Amino acid sequence: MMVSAMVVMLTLLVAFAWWRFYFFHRKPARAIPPGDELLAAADGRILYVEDVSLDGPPANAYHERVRSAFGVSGDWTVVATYLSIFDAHFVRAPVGGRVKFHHMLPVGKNASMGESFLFAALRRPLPVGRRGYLEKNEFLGVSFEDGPPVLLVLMADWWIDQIVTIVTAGERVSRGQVIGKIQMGSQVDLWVPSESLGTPPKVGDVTRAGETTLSSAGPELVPKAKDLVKVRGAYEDNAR
Amino acid sequence: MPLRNQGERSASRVIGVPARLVLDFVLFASVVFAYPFLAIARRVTHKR
Repeated sequence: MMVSAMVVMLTLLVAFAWWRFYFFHRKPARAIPPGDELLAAADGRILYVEDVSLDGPPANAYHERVRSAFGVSGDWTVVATYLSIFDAHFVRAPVGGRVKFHHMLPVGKNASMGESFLFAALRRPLPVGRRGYLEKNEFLGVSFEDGPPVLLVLMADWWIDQIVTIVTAGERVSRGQVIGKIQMGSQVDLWVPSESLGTPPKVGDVTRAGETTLSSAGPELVPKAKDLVKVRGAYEDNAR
Repeated sequence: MPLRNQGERSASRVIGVPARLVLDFVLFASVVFAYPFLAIARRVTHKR
């Protein structure tokens, strides 16, 4: 019994070390689909999709934070992607353009996003009442000057290590290029003007950064990994 | 040159690297053990 417990614990420790120091930090190459359709910015599952108006009094503090960080108004659609601990955490540009960063400091201390994991795992939308972290946590906003009006919000979890930007402010990036990495963070919000998404993804859909177009996200990984091997190299790989 | 943000408020700085690794291990083990139960819960409660 004692030996069995030790074997289980040792296996778990080895698996943890592999995940913590290798697997989590992987940067898989991606076959960026041609065209100009909006790409998913992060790997993960869709946590919620909602329409937001930034005109007039904001509905909540998160909307006000986004409005002040980016200096935007109007009607937007927000697609929130939750990154589990097993997803690649490199974030890619959904569109091409010159990047501009908008850093928003936390209000008090960062809050945990633990509940997001449960709702994402159950393929359920995260209820509005459980999104308090959006109103408190530090985030890094990314917009794309001389590109389509698309905003990215890289949200930090409580135990955020760093949000690393791999490109510098003002640098021109191509569609699907790696722009940063969230280390132990958990959410990437994509803001696009309302009604500009042809077919918005559904809650629980899987996305792969730089590879899934938002209209092609589905309940399972599309295309499957074995198909990716075939198509890799067919398109320019912008992984850096 | 990579620009790094927000590290000054990271859990590693606040609670220290050893405590952070313990926390990460607890997180990892919790998720690994929770997944089978969540998969069952998803099958029971959710129909796409």
